[in-house]
Amino acid sequence: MSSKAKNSERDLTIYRWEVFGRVLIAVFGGYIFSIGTALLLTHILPFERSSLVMTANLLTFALYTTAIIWVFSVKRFRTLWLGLAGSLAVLALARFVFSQVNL
Amino acid sequence: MKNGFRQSMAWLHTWTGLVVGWVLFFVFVTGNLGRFDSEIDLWMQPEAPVQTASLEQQIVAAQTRLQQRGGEWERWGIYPTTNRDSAFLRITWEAPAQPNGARGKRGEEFIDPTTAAPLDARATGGGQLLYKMHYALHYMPRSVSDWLIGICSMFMMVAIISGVITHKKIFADFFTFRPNKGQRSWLDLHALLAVLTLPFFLMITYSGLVFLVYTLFSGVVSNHYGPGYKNRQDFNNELAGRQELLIERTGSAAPLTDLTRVVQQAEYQWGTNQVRSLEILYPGDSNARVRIARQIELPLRSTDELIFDGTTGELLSEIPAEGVASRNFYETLLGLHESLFAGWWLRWLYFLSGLAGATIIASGLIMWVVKRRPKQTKQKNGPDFGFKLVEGLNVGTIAGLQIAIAAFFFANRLLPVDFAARANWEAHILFAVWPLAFLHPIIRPIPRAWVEQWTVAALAFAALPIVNAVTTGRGLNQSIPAADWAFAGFDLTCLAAAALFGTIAYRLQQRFKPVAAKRPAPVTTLAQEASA
Repeated sequence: MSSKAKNSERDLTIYRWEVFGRVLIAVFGGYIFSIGTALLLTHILPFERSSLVMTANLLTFALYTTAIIWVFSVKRFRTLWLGLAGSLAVLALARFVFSQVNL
Repeated sequence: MKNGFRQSMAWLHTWTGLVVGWVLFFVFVTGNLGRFDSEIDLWMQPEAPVQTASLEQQIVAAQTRLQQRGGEWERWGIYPTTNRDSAFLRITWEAPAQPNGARGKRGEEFIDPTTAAPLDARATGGGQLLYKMHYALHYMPRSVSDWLIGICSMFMMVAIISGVITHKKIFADFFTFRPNKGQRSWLDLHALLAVLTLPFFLMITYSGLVFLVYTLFSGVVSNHYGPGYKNRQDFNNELAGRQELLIERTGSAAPLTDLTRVVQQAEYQWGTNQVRSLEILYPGDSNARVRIARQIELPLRSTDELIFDGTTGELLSEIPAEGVASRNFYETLLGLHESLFAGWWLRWLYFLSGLAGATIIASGLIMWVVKRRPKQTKQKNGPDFGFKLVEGLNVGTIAGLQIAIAAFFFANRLLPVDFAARANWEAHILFAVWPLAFLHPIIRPIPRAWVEQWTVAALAFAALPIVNAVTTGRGLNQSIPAADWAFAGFDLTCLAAAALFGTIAYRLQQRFKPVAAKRPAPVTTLAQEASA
């Protein structure tokens, strides 16, 4: 906790809510991001189906860990929201584009 | 979220480590004992005859017993003693997948190869039960424990990465240990061991997670293969190139082929003692298949396999150990985790790394307390509840678990041999003794609780070889001359544990004596010294 945050009760409350928010974003946002990316990979990599799925399986936890670390390393809460929304939007868009191509 | 990247990571490391540290300690200790699960199995069934039956005799006995048991099964398994994982000939059976897609009910039995009857020895969970606790816990279905262990492992993964980021001087930490300096020493110990065993720690955690990928990220497989266990098996078979196993039952009965004949073919191809296990898919159906797997001799856990028609005994296909890159990577990760390939030296190195892992977790938990103690003890109303909770949980977990495990082994020797439910009661006793270790720090000052619990743990492990000698007549005086290494190794390891725990108790006692003499310190200050 920074020295400033200690100064008032109100700052402390805000800080606690922020930690709580980050935990939620890390756990659930990170999960959606990692499984979304893994699934996307299974639709775009040029391997056989079983090999694709195994590659994605192996990557999920690395993606999840990276996402969680990122959520707790970002300084400003706003960046966090932008990053989360942005990455999910990119994933959804990519998924859409590739589903069109595959058809 | 903090002022700097490193500060944020230090915060993350502290809290992810603390929240699940106690569960992880349990996982590390029980999993580490699993490195010698087969030896513990032998020790826990002292009256079981030494297994000398030939592979052929074992296969005949297993097939006879499985067919005697009757019923319709999805799968049978036969694990002869050529397999390092089986101290005794073991058979398994699995029911067809449940309508909701969950894996069918499974069971297993140890068999006496000479009589084809269940092994005539005391009922026990054995070393297998301790080993299984590290991923399945106890008193709960796998669907629950997989999630619990998965979440805890994910916390550990984050704790490891954030811990590495927090440490700027990885190389210097190799050579830094400042003993007897309180908090500083704990940090040095924590960092020194963590740096030394980082590759092991990372491997064991990541591969542990990969074991659980089908639970935690089940969506990846089900997105392509559909949900449920059966589809997951299909995925595995497709990945391994086992096309012959991607079949359904025909529904018409046909007798199973003589398994000794297919085993002979496998031995002819691979050489003697190379058959590790047999799996029979759809036994009794005309579409039955027999899959024979070879010994694991490399970190790569997948091995050469032969697949036979289960009714005609005709060889259908040969699966090489190595396949596509992703499968090789997966199987190597899991193989490194399970260490079935490891010989004696490497196995002990694994064991020591696991001990280091448990020590890293324990020292991290203790550091959390030591760091906060000066401020906590100065508070007007005494330490916070959370602080006292962590202190108590630390004692009950780090020292108390050792006592509970000793109790498990005592139960094995002291419960009546013909008591029907004794296998369950061994575990009940472990989980009855352990809570006492959590209650004890409530009624005793923390430093006293540490000293007393380590003392009890030391005495318990020192007594185990004696109880063993008295109850079985296979004490160290017999087992060492007879080169009975499962027994001698177990007893000697108990004595080593007793010496270690006794030393800890003695040193903590020494540490807190001079302080008590110098000033009439309140209990809380003693606490500070005792675990420093």
